[in-house]
Amino acid sequence: MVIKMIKKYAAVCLLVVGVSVLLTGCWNSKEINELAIVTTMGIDQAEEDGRFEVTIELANPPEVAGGSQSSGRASTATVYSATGDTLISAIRRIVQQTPREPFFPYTQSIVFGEELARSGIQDTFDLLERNQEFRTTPRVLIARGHTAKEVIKILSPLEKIPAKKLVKTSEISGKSLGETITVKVFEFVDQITSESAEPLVGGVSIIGDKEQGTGVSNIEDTEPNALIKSEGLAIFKDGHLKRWVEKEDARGMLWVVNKIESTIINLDCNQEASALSIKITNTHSSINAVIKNGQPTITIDVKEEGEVEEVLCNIDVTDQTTIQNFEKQLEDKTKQEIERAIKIAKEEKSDVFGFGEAINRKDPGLWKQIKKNYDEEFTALEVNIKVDAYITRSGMRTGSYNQE
Amino acid sequence: MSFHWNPFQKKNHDNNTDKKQVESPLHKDISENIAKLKLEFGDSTEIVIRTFHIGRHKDLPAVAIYMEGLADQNFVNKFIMESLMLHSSDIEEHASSKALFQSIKMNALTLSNVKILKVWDELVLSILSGSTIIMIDGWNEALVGETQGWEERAITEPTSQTVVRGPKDAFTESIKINVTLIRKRIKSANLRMETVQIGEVSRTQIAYMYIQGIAKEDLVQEVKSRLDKIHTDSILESGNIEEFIQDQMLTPFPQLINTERPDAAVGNLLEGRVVILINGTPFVLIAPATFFQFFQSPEDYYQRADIATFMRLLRFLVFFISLLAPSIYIALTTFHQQMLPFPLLINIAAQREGIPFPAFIEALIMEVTFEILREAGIRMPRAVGQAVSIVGAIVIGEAAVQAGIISPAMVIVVGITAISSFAIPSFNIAISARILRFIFMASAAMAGFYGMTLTAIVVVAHMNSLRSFGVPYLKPLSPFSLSEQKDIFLRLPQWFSQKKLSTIGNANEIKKPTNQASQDGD
Amino acid sequence: MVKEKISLLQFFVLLNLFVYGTNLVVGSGLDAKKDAWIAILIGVAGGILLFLMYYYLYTLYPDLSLVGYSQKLLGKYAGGFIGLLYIIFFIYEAARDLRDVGGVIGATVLNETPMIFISGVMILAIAYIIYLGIEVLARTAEIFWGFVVILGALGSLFFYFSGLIDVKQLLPLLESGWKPVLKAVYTNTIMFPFGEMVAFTFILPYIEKKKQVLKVGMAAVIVSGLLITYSTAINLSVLGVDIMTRSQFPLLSAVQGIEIMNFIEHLDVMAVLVLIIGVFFKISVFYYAAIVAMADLFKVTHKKRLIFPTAIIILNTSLIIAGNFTEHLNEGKFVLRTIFPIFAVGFPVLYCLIAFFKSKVTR
Repeated sequence: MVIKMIKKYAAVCLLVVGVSVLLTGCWNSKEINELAIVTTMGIDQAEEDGRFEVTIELANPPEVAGGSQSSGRASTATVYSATGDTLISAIRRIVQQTPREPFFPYTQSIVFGEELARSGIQDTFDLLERNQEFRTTPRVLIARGHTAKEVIKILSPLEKIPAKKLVKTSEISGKSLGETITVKVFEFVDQITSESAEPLVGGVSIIGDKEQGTGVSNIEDTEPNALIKSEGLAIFKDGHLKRWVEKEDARGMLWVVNKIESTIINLDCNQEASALSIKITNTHSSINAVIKNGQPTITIDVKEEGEVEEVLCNIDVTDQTTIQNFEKQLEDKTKQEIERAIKIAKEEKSDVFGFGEAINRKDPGLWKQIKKNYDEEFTALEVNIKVDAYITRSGMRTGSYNQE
Repeated sequence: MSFHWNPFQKKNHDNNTDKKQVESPLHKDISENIAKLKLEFGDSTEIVIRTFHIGRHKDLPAVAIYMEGLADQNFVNKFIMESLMLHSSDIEEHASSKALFQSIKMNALTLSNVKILKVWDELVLSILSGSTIIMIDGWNEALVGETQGWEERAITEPTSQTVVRGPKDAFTESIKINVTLIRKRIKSANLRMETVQIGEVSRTQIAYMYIQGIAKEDLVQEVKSRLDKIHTDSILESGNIEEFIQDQMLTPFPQLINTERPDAAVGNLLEGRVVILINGTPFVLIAPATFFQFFQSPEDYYQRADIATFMRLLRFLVFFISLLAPSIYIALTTFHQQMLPFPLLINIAAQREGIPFPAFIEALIMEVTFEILREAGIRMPRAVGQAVSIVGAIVIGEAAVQAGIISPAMVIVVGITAISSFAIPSFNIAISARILRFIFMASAAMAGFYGMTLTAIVVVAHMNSLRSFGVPYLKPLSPFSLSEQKDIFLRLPQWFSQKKLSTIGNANEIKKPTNQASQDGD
Repeated sequence: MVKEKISLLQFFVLLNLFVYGTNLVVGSGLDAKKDAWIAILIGVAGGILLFLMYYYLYTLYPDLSLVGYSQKLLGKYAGGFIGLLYIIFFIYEAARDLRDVGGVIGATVLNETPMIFISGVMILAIAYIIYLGIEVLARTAEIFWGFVVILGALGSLFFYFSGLIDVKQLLPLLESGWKPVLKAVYTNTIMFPFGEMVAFTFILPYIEKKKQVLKVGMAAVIVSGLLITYSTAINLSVLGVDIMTRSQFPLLSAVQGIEIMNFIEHLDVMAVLVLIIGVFFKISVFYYAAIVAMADLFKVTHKKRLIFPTAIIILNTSLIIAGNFTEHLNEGKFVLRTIFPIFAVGFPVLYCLIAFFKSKVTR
């Protein structure tokens, strides 16, 4: 009987709890159309009112999705910005201007203005790590020679959301040229906080008239007024942007950190400079430390595979010795690029390659000793480069029509 | 205390013990008997009381009584009236007056099934079941000839459990035909059938069949005792029985299978289960039932193993879609938007622009609408059935989207849910999914996947607490048994191993069928 | 009254879920930095020793719970008092784990929902399953164990396919030598999660085949230990030691990084589901142990009467246990070092010794 009463009592309690929950519940429930989906976030140095100026780009779903919901006239995205002493206070200021609360998990990229990057960005990552709405996967980009706000505002053809345009331009150029990279936030944070490595970040800039690039008209013309261009690699030191590295030098760095997926290398052929293009299809590099008498040296092993892509001179690509020559030339060229890259890094005292990491892996005790004055150690570090190049294919033709 | 909870049962039980009557015998005088009969049946016009003289002997007055419609009139005329009146003129020569009664049975009646009755109640029951009673003046016994001959529905194709490949016959409303359909398939003397009559008023004939040596003795005893404990006025359908003999009352899950397919019934008999047939319905009950059986279709065993396995896996998928699709949609769009791929998120957000309801209410509206449509579709006369589907599809779906009241994505979700619920072979389990779907939707609306996970754990725990005739409901998944996995998610080829009957469990597995809930203490 | 029974497989999965339940998401052994996984691996050895000890006591009194034999060994009052301490310990542990759930869910999925709701519905669901009995609990665990294993296998595949795993992050081995590793073993890989197994002394009597308990139990300890080692190593190689040690829920951070085909991404909610399931059964075991202990100690015949009040106590304890999550975690560290060893090692060792000498004397 007592059990029955307890059962009844429990049932009533459950009912009360259940009903009250049903009536009051749904604290977290947010309808999907109440979200302001942030696709990219830009951070600049504020000129007044606080430290940062934050720019966010909100997607306009009906226009992006197209179809019957689209009016066809409005822009696919809207850009807002505000300033504040911390990022979150700036973001909250933006809410003053928008009817909806920003929703961050879909942030595709985080763009830093160059000015801010030069004066230091190490303070900007705490929010990105701490706030559960931010993912670890947005890509980090530096707006080269511009503010982040300017870059974000450019509307782009082909890709409906400017944020996608930014990330994809950078990714595709990195993939096919091998001169820039796109790093994820958490990789970036990992490197910037590490004592034994520094980050490398890709840059984006604007070509054309940036004032004219913000309207829908920009995507209506065959030749848009302004375009986003991915160029350059930013070298950081202690959270400050130190220097932009271009083209071959940038590629030299990426060889070492094993970030090249594909690239084009021009070789000399028959005394004609840059008359033969090799497409690199497969590369692998590794960094190892060797400790000799308490002195670390670094060995870099690069393996690359390529195919002949375009021939503007008179050679026979079926000839084994020719190919071997080119392989040799490819090795030398790569080696030169890497050497130049290391020189630049040493000038800036920025260990973008993670040599320190390699020493630590090899000998944690030694690393602890040299850690304190690693800047000097790094500039004095002896680096051996070993490149193996293979040319595996030569396309659909055996000879060139230039051949006589 | 009885093993299942039924508020009416106890009362009936008490009534029954009170009015337990003394069996009243027949009277020697047939006119007395006729008068009593008339009193009992009131003014019922379909009762035929025909007085005549056996073999045209004036000193042998007799009476034949039967119910018009229940008994076959031609049959009565030819084999009772004709043989007793015309061909029995020499009946006295064969026997002394003492043995006359026996002699009529032995020599005069050309019926195969004749019994002798002495008790009044049995006599009334025989008349009501279509037999013809013959009483002879001066004897307090009656002869009962089996003359049932009412109109039966012919054996047709199953309507609720159709297959592409497999036998096309279905049970009918007549228990006799149904038993025949089973007997035809198992030519074994070990196939046993026992009959009981349930229903104070309806006196429905109920039979349970099992195969001696395959079905566990405990199980048969359990079925028998549970059937014996039923005290009710009437049994009209197998559902009435099911409610009385199921283990647990408060659950959305069916604990007995019903089928209208003789091959399914036979298959289950061969696996050691007990089949319960009820006169007056084409649906037979199978006990015990486990959750996974509801996903088995007889066709699984007629198709090749790989195809059957694929279809079986599909059915489980379909069950989960039917159960969870709307709640997953709600959870994703109102709590875990970040889980959607970006283009999909943009798409749904664009669709939802301007929709006046929250996703949960939207889903609820559509689900309820759909339930209404389904119910209407069943009730509608066939001729207008088509109109319902047109109204449902075009007006509710298309127009609601056009008007911007419901988002197209929601229509897709509800549509796939609805279609899925029809792909489950057992209607019973599909209903469970329908009911639980709303619970999952509510929990998703309250706490997203967190709520859904907790609900899922609670539902699984509830299912684990169920037993059907002592067999754990989720057997053989939990308690897990590797050897029994060959016919659960997969349907391994028949040669893979002889079908063993362990799904029913070995004898000690069958516990006293109590509610798990009341195991501890009370 | 039907005696409830659980099978060996059910015992295995229950122990498994119990050990790696919270551990997968909260992480342990991180004091050893890069070598956390080594610390855990060593912790497994400690776990085996602990299990052997509990098993020894179990072989002496196969039908009694810890409270039962503590009263036999120490007398009604002293033993009873220790039993009472155990009840408090289990309720506290259940409350801690409930708080873990509230913390994780609150920090990730339902950040605006009050904790009392999150914890409340959880404890209600657990109370229901306890109400249905240990047998139902064990069978339900069986099903969800399969679910967790499938999710785990999928997760592993996703990590490999998305190319996040960088084994170099684990190097160098023993960066600062054995000392921090051994220290981490002592402070946070033996007691948590293996010391908590003491709750299973209340469940062992329900196992059907008593002879194989040792084999299956050892297997469960080793398998779950290896799983934790594996997941810690994966987390480390994905996140790097720096982020890993700064993360409150390393697994969630690691899973967030998964991106495959631009479609399979943002899977952290799935990781939260695994956590919910793991913690659910962990709380259930503590909760059940507390109920059994109470029933044994106070000779309560209707165990079910205890369930609802205990649920409320656990819920309230979990809410007042700490002002915020940091305090909760710090308290956890303190408890691991001080109170845990007493209950997980201290009393059982005492019982073992007494039992051992008793048997000597009687001979």
